[in-house]
Amino acid sequence: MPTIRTITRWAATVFIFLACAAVFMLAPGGGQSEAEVREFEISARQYAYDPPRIVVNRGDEVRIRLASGDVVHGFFMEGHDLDAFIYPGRLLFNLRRTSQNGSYVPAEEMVFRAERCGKYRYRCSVTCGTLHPFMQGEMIVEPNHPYRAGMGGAAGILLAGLFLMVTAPREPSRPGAWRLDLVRAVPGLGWLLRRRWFQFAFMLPGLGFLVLFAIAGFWGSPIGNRNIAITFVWILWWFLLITVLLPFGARIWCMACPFPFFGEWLQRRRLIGVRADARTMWKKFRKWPAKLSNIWLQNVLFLGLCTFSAVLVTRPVTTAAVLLGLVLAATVLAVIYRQRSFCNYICPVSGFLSLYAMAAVVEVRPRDADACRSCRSKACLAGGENGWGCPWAQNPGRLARNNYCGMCMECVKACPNGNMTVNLRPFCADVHIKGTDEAWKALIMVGVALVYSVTLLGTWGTVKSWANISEVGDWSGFLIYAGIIWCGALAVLPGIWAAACGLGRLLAGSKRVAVKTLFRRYTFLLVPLGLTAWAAFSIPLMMVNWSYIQATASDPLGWGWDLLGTAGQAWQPLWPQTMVYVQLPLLLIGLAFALKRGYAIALTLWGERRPAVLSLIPPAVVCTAIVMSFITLFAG
Amino acid sequence: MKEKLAVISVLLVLAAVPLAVLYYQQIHRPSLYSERVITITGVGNRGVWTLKTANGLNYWWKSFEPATIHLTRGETVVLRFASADVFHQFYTPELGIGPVDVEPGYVKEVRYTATRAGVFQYYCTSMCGGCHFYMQGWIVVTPPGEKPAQPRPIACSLCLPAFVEASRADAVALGEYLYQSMGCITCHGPGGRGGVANYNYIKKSVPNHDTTAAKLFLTDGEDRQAFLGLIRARADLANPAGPPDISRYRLVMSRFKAAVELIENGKNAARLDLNGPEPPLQMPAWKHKLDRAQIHAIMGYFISLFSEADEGLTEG
Repeated sequence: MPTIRTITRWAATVFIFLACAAVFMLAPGGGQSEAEVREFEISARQYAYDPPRIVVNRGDEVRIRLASGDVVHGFFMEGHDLDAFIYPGRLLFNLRRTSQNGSYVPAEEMVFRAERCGKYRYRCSVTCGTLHPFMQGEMIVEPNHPYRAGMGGAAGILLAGLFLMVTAPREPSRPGAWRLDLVRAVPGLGWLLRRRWFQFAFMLPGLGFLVLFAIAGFWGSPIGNRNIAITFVWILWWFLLITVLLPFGARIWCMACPFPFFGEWLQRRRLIGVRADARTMWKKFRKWPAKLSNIWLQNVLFLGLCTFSAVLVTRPVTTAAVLLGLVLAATVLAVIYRQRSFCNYICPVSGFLSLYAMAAVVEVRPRDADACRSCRSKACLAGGENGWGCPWAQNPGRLARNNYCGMCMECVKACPNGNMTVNLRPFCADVHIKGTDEAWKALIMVGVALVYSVTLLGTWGTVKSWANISEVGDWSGFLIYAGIIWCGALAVLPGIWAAACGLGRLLAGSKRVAVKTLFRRYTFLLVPLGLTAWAAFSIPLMMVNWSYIQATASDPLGWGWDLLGTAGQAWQPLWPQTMVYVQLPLLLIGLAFALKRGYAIALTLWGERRPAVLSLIPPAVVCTAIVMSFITLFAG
Repeated sequence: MKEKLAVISVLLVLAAVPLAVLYYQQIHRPSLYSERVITITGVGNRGVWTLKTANGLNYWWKSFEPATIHLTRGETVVLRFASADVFHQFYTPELGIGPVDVEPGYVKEVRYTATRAGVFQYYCTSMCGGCHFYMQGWIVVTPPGEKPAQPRPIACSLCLPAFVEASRADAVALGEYLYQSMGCITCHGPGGRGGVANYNYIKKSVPNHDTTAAKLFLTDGEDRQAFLGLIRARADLANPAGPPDISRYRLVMSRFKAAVELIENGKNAARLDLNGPEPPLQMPAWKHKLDRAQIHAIMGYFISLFSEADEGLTEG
C-alpha cells in the first residue's frame, strides 16, 4: 500500500508537469486571428524549397503556386493528401491526391484548408539528385500545439524531476536493482547460446549482404535511394540499430557484425570450433599499445565519417568503399594484434555502441560473482574447451558494465560451471562513465545528433550544400560545416558541460567532489538522452524512406529488376503526420531517465541529498535545453 | 566435419551472391525478351542519353558518349529507358516514340518497330540541368544490307574545356553569356540566327533573334544605342529617370515588355499538322531561372545583334 505521503508526492509531481505543459500551451501568440486566404509561391531547387518555411493559421485557406529552378522536383504535403510534380520551365505543375493513387492533373495552384495544427513538412517526391531524400520544407499551422506541449513537457519534467529529488525518501533505491535471468526463464536459450555455431549462423547472412552491398555500390545505380547499399545500410540497418538492437539487445549487433569475420577467422583458423591451444596461441600476436587503449581513435574516426556523412549516405560507391575499408582494416589488425583490437579501439560504430549499450535492457553477467572470484580455470578469460577466451579482452567474471561486451556468448560457452548468463534488466542500469574518452563520446554523440537533425532533417539548403561537398564543391562552406562538427563536438559542447558542472559544484557549496569527476560522471545523463534523441532522429528517416527500402528489396541494384513486385510503387511516406507524436514522447522519456539516473549518480558522489541535487541543477538545465533544441528542430 | 561445412558455406555465400546477380542480369532477364533490347540511360549532369551503364564506378568521374541508336528497317526492338540521376523525357517526334517519362528508379520500356529508314533526332524534353538542351542525338534506321549513316553526335559545348565564361560586367556581354550558358543557343542558333528545325512546328524552324531590334522599332542606330545604354545602366525602363531620347519610346517599351513576358512565361510551339506530334522544342518559362535584369541583358544582346545591312532582307 502506498502511503499518503507517496500519493501526495506523485500527485504534486503530475500537477507540476501538467502545469508547465499548460503554461506553454496557453501562452499567447500565434493562430488567434481570423481565417483568411494565404497565398504562397514556393520554388524548388536542389535540395531545398524557397521559402523553406511557411506559417499559416488554423482555418486559413492555403494557396500554393509551385515552380522549379533546375530539375523536376516533387512536392508532397504531409497530412494533406496532396502530391505535386513540378516541371522546370513550365508554369503549370501536375497535382494528384495520394490517397486515391490517381494520376496527375495539371494545376496552377495547390489549394487546401489548414485544418489541423502542427508542423507539416513538404518533401520532394521525385528523385532529384543525391540529397533528394533529405529535401524538405515545412508548413506550420498555428497554434502549434504539439510543439508547445513538447516544450512545456520538457520544462515540466525538469521541474517535476527536481521536485521528486527534493522530496525523495531518505533511503534511495539502487538504480536498476532487479534482474531476470533469461537463460533460466526462456527454455532452450541456454542450449542455443552454447552452440558453437551460434555466432557463425548470424555472421554468415551478414557476410552475404556485405558482398551484395559491395556489388551494388560499385556496379549498381548511382542513385542512392535506388541502391540497396544505401537503403539497407543507412536507413534500415541504422534504424534497427538505434531503435531496436541497441536498446533491447545491447551490442548484439557486434555478435552478428561481418566486419571482423575474416580477421577472426585468420586469427583462430577456425570458424566454429575451439583450438586445443586456445589458451596459449595469443602469444604470437601483439598487444594493442597501452596509450591507444581507449576509445579516442573511435571518437576521431566517427567524427571523420560524420563530416562526410552527406556524401557517404547518398553515394552508393562511397558506402561500398567504406564498408570494404572497414573489413580490410579489421582483417589487417587481426593478423597483427590480439583478438578484437579493431572492434575495441578502431571501429567507428563500436564507439557509440559501447556508450549506448549502457542503457540496454540486457546484459551478459556472471550469476554468482563470488564463484568467479574463486574459480581457478578462468576459462571465460583465457579460453576453455568449449569457448574462446573473451575476444573483447574483458574479464567476464567481473563484468559490471555493458560497454565492451560484444555479446558473442563465448564466455557462456566457455564457463565450465555454467555461471555466465544473459539477464534482462531495467533501462539505463549501467551508470558509471569511467574515462574522459567515454565522457567525450557521450558529448560527441549528442552534438552530432544535433548537427544531423539540422543538416539532414532540416530545411536549410545552404547547410545541405556545405555538407554535399563532392557535388557542390563549396570548400569554404564545407570548412564551416566541418568546423562546426569538430569544434562543436570536441570543444563547445564539452565546454558548456564543464561550465555547468563547475557551476553545480559552486551551488553545492562543497569541494568534496572534483569538477573533473562531476564532468565525467554526469555525462551519463547524456546517455539516455542521446539514445532517445538518435531514435527520434532515426524514426522519421525510416518513415519517410520506407518506400525506397521496399523498392530496393525488389530491385537491389537499380537495374530495373522486380523480384518482389514492389519496385514500381510510387513513393509514399508512412504516416508522416504522426512522426512528431513518436518523437516528442521519446525525447521526454530520455530526459526523464537522464534526471532519474543523474540523481542516483549525484547521491553516490556527494553522499547526501542537498549538495547532490544542487550540483545536478545546471547539468539538468543543459540537458533540458538540449531536449528543447531537438523539440524545436523536430516540431517547432 | 562442422568446420568443413562452415568453410564450404562461407565459400558458397561469397560465390553465390555475385553469381546470382550475374545470372539474373545476364541470363535470366535477356531470356524474357524475344526482341533486341536497347537500354538507354539519361545522364543529366553530362547532358547525354547513353548506351553505357551508369554506375558507382563511372558516374562521378567519367563522361558518357551520346547514344546513336542504330536500327535495321523492319526490326522490332525493346527500348528500355533509365535515368542515372533526375527526371528526363525521351522524345523522337518523327518516329512517334514518346515523350517517355523517365523517372529515376523506374525503368520504362517501349516496343518499337522501325518502318522508315532515315536519320531521326531524339531529344530530352524535360529540363534536367545545365546540359539539358544538348541532350539530343540520333536514331539511325538503315534498310537491311545497307551501310548505316554515321551522324555526328551532339556534344554539350558547355562541358567542353573551351567554353570560358565571358565577362559579365557589361549587360550586353552578360546577355551573350547567358544566351550560351542557359542553352538558348541550341534552339535559336549561334548569333541568334535561328534556323534550327523543329518538327511539326507551324514555322518549321525556331525563331531567330537577330531582328529583335527591328521588331522593337529600334532600327535607327542612335535609338538603338540609347536603348542599349539604358539596359547597360540597368535603368528602370518603364519609368526612366528623364524622358529618353528615343523615338516612339512607348511603342518600343510595349513591344519590349511583351518580349520579356514571353521569355518569362514561355510559349507553346503551335503545331503545323494539328493531328501530328507536339513539336519537340518548346520555349520554356524562364521566370524561375532568370531574374528581370538577366532577361533584360539577354534582350540587350538580341538588340545588339541587329545589323543595318540586313534590315531590308529581314523586315517583314
